[in-house]
Amino acid sequence: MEIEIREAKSQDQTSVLTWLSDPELLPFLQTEKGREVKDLAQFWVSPQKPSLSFIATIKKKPVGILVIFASDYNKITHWAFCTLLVAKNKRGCGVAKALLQAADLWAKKRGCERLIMELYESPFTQAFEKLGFKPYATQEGYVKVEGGYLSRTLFARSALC
Amino acid sequence: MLKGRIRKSEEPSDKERIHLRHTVPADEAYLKKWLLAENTLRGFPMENEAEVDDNLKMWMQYAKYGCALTAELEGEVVGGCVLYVHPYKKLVHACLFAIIVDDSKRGCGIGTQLMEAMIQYAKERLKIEQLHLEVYDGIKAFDLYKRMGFIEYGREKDCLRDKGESIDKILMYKWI
Repeated sequence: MEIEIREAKSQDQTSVLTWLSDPELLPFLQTEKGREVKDLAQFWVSPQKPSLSFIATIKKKPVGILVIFASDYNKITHWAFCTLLVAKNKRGCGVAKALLQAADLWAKKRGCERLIMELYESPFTQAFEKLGFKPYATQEGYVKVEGGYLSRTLFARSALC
Repeated sequence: MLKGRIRKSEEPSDKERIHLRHTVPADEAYLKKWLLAENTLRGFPMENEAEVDDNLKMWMQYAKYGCALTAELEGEVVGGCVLYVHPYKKLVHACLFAIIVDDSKRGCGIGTQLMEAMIQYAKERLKIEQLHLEVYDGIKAFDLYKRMGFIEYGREKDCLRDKGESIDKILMYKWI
């Protein structure tokens, strides 16, 4: 399967909203079903510069998104925060890897050396570790869910691979 | 006007005169002056006036929603703090905050009082359960945060690059 990467467009919001609304994924997101997930999908496909989003497609159909939240502040241009999501039926097909390769290219051009992300006790933790993300901090009680809290773990990955 | 919680054991005469009120647009000039004071920006990601202006835009946005407080000592503005309350329901209980004290007034307990009052406000008025913060290695405020019961939960290596120096970011939180 050939995976192509392009910058996100506002029309991608529908696909992203579908992925974010997956009932199996929702408990591990910061958003709740409804307006919050819709706002998040819109935010992800149209971040303000210098932030940007990449969409992975297979046969022109969106299958994943990687959002890079970058800052123009001089002291912190060497790292950026990111988030990554792959459509449920395309996981394990190399989509995340392809998106990260695009992010690495962008990072090199910009002088960005490190990507940072966070997960909330997500079942995808191991998958992200396989992609090179290493945990460096865990904050207890960051997400409040029915019946308790989830911790937030921050991960860093070199963009110079 | 909100009155700061007072610790009677330290400098009671000054502390009794500290008051907190909601931040108003005119306070932005004080915040900017303190941030641009010599050596202050070493403890912040901003490097110059344009970046400080950009950062203060966000601070003042939160002020509109009652999430920024200004400290006064004998009618003089001496410090401020902002609570970056999250819009998502699952995250609203845990809040990142920032605090700054007039550089000429540091070391006389104002930071401690401001923190105490902010914690009380966050807990009682905003129903926040946990506060968290980011402080850069080598910044004196780290000792204040430790004294106030904040726990370090991680460090981000090489977070700031400032005039050839690499500075780690220390992450701390506290259940309130």
